[in-house]
Amino acid sequence: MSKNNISGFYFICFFFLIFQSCNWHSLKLQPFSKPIYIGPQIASSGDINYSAVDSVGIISGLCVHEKEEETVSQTKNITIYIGGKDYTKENINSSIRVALQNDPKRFIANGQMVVDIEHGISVGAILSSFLATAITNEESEIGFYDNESIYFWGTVYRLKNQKNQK
Amino acid sequence: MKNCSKIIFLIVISICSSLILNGCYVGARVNLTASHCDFPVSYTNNFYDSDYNLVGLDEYEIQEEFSFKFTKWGITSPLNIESEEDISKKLNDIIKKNNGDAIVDLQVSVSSSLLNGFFLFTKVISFWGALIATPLLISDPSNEYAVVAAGSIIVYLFTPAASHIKVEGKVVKLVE
Repeated sequence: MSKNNISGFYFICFFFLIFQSCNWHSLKLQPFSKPIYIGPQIASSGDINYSAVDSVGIISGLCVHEKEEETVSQTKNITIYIGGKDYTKENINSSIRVALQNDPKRFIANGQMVVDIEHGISVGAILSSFLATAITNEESEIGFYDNESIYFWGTVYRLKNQKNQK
Repeated sequence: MKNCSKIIFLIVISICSSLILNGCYVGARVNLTASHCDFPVSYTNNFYDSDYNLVGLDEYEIQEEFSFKFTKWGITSPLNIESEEDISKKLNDIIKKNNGDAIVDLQVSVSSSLLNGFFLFTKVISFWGALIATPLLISDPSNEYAVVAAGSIIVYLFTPAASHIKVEGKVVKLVE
């Protein structure tokens, strides 16, 4: 392998490394007036005060994270869209609201989160995007992309005995 | 002229590569649970006490705001191997250390690792290796082509990715 080939190899490898987003994407639930537990609700020993009524699940495929900052960056003639979409942030909150049904006795427990990251190549690789940007708009995904998603599942419980519910 | 044709050749190759590699990605999926928590850990700012009274903002005081990070590996393309992380012990330890009664305002964040760029590059190389070596192996069965083809396919199927996960929240104590 000649020196030029090795340099070209390292250059391409470097290219793959630099076009990435390492931003944090968070899932923060809006302030509901009910607990939403990640683990089981703690009951007094031997005393089952609640029963499971339903399960709330966020359908896979929805991106439920929120962008913490604007993540579209422009480097020379390449526009790279980095980060997922937060258009379904409202979906998780409305799904929880529907599950709680304004019932003062309902709450969610045994919640679990699935975090999913993807780093890949979209239509048009980096080199070809020099041409692609001339005929497409800035919003299109060209080159490398990063998707970070957080999914939430939980079980809705209902207290059997009314105890100073607000 | 020679340089011009080289550039045109590179552009044609890259366009063909991009079309073939469209959708090529590395990923990781992590299932985050806390099924052995000894205390209430809530994503919202309230929780139930042991008598199932709803405890709101005015009824507790914040002892400590915490944050911890960790990295998990997984494989999502084309095989899907999900990893799991139970953070019960960490949360229990944080509450006990701060003499708290519960955790509220739990927030989970995720970020892609810088290494994923390198793994994507490895996957692209293995893709091309499999694409070139497999027809060669069919036309001329030899050990070298078999090793390259098999190795490329295995690397392509099992390329991992890393995700950084951050968990934040507030340890609270009931006001007497």
